[in-house]
Amino acid sequence: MPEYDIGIQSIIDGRGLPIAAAGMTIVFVALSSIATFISVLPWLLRQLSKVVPETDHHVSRPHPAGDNDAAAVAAAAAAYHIHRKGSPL
Amino acid sequence: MTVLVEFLSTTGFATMTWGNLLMIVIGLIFITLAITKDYEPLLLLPIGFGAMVGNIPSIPGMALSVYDPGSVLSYIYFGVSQGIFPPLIFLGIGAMTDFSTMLSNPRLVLLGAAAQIGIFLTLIGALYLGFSPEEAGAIGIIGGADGPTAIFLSAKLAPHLLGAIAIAAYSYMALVPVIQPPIMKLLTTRKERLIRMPPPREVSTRERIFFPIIAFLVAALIAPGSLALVGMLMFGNLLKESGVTDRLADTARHAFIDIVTILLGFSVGASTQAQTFLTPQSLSIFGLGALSFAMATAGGVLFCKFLNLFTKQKVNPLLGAAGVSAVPDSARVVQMVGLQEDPHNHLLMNAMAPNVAGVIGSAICAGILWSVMVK
Repeated sequence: MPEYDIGIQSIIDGRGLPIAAAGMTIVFVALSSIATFISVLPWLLRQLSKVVPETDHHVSRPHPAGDNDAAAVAAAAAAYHIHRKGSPL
Repeated sequence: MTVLVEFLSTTGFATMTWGNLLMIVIGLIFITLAITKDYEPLLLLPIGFGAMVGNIPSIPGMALSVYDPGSVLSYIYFGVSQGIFPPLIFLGIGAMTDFSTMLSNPRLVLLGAAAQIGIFLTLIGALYLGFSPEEAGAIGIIGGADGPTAIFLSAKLAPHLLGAIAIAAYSYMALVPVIQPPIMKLLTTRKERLIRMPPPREVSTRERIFFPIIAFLVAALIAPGSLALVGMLMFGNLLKESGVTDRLADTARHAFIDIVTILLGFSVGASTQAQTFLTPQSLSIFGLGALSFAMATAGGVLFCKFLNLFTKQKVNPLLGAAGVSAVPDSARVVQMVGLQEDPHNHLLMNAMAPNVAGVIGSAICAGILWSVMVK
């Protein structure tokens, strides 16, 4: 720290107050802009949905019948049979 | 016999200094805190072990330490000294961050801005203590309570202080549950701490996809210096939210961030050689670091109280403390302090909003300081 001494003068020489004031202003402007965007986003998306309807292509579609479905059908049939004939226990 | 004597003179025992010994003990304390107290173990353990490695005295003529060109450790440290690791960590953070709570209550974003006052007040304090503007900027960013951001900026502005700044930032992040509650209680009334927050609303997939793109454009255009940090953060988040790159998002938030964390923590620890670390400057940095966390917490809480003067729907001012971007520790502290007053008042979800906003805010501050200080 060769050029700067302890004291208020160092803050003035280093432009401490202008940097702090400008820095806080910029960060508030940036985050306020983001907050404003977030606030209007639902409205923007509603307008967008009128033009491009939202399709959730990530929702899993029904799988074709497989082993699990066969097992489920067998279980359902067994349950129905027990229901009609009464429990074996 | 001569060879044996020559060899013995090169051992660590012969060349060890009291400073090296002290740093090895500090490394052991970090490891102990990580294992027994669970204080930021993912970072304190690599940093602690790295400090032990870095303080084994080097043999003159052999490239061993992080500061010796061509040494293995210097190649690992390259990622720190050139500011490569922090943006990579931000990629992983982005891939694991859920911005939904922030999207559901945009007002809370401002708390993440208010808490950045700690950065700029610390900068003024560092200037007062005689640090150069570049050094003061690097020290100030400790108040952002964000380790990667602190490392990134100090690598750019004051590489010679990087070890002290990184250790201070991570140490105080580990101490968030100790530093914040007294300030939060001091600055709020019981009535204020009892304010209940509405549950976050449902956020659509489209909102979550649009957010990282627009937030990046806004932040990077206003403060281009934050390009690398905010860019990687939002890119990681887009990988997560797009729903079509699950594999990439999964890698970014697990294996990738873990690898970078190991390399970053270890090499930062290894850079804390006693000869460069144990200086009066480091003591000042630790003092300023503690103050910066306190001021950031106070800034967030007081700004929240200020907002409440003008708004109909009051915000629990404890949430202001979560503007300090130690994710998710400061949000957890808010939850803890809230529950102490009312066991049914769960503030965690709402606190995550200013918490993640604080991450964006501190990255923007780093960009501002870098662009202002760069010659």
